[in-house]
Amino acid sequence: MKHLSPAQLVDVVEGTAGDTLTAHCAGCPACRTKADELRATLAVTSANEVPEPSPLFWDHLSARVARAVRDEPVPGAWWQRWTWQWVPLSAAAMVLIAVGFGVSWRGISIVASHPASELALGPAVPLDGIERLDAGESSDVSWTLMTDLSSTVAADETLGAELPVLPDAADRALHHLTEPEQAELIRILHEEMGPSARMAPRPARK
Amino acid sequence: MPIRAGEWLAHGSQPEWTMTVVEKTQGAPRDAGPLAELDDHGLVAACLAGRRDAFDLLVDRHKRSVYLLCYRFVGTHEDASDLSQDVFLRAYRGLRRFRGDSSFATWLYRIGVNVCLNRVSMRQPLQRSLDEMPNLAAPQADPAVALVRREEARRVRAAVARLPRKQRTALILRVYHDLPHKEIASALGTSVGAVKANFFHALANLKKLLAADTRSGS
Ligand SMILES: [Zn+2]
Repeated sequence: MKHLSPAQLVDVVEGTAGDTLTAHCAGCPACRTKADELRATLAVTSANEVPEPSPLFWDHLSARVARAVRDEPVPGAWWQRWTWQWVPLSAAAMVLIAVGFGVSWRGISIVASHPASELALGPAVPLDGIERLDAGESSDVSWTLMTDLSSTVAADETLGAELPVLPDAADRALHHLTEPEQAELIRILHEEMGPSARMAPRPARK
Repeated sequence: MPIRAGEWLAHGSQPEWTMTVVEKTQGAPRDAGPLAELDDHGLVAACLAGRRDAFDLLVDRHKRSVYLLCYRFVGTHEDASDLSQDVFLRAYRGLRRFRGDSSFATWLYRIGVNVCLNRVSMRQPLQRSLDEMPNLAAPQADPAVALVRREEARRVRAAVARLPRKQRTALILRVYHDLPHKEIASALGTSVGAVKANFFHALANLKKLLAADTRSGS
């Protein structure tokens, strides 16, 4: 006759054993005695309670762990951190890019879809009287060149040439050009106007 | 232009600013926000993504069970408190290794058992601290009954502390933390059969140890 194994006796005591094992235990004095002893010891052991610490202790423990964790580097791989930390920034960047594209596209569409005469024209404004948005571009060669060129062109001349001119347009356009674009603009202007195109210093502003 | 407190009093006008006194609520989550709605796996993911406060919430959820586990192993409040901090710190450092195959609690138990067994093996014998342990349990109505229960509890803890490591671990996780054998096996990296066998031998040895203690005490 094969008696119950330790694992099977645990199942019997915990009430998870099948009918066959339970029936064996009921009919076998040796296995029944073991199971009874197991139950008795389990009852004594289970009744043992841990002294309850002070209610303040739990907050104290949280604070201790938080302090210890603060000194640790953030766990996780960089790409996992990226998703949470950089989402607001990357979203903002995407919005800026989208707005940038939108503005550029809109500008192109307006110029392309309207005859020059329909565009609002203002008088030729002397550029050295216009407040610039930012300082520090007095050494900007392209700005100097454009200012120099546009200051000699009257509004009615541009109208006759079907070129849409808005007040401050050249100035604003230059603000949106990147350095390579400005360099390219200068090159084109030099090409168009020949070596006579001079690079005058930017007029001093009042 | 900002005005000084004395000026608005003199002008009879109200300041634009107000001061709100916020009373700290005991045990309340600290600006947990929507994190509190996440389950443990979600909090782990948030923590790995850089949200340290997600880990604070995990600590709040599991500190009691971790402390009790540690107390069962070391038997003093001070040691259990230190070990609990150590368990959470190790969990934080190793959070990337939590795969989510088991529950976070089971994973934490595994760390807890390792931390406790390491400490216990460095600090033998443990019985000394069990005798010195202050009993902070709720006072019993009958002092005599309370005394007997305290003494009984001390004897059992001393006996549990003398069990071999695997048997002690299986017994603590099964009896005091009500973990299913399968989860204990997962926490210990062993089979369910081995856990049950260790549990059986733990109880059998405990019976012998308690009987020997009674004989020596009488
Ligand atoms: Zn039998």
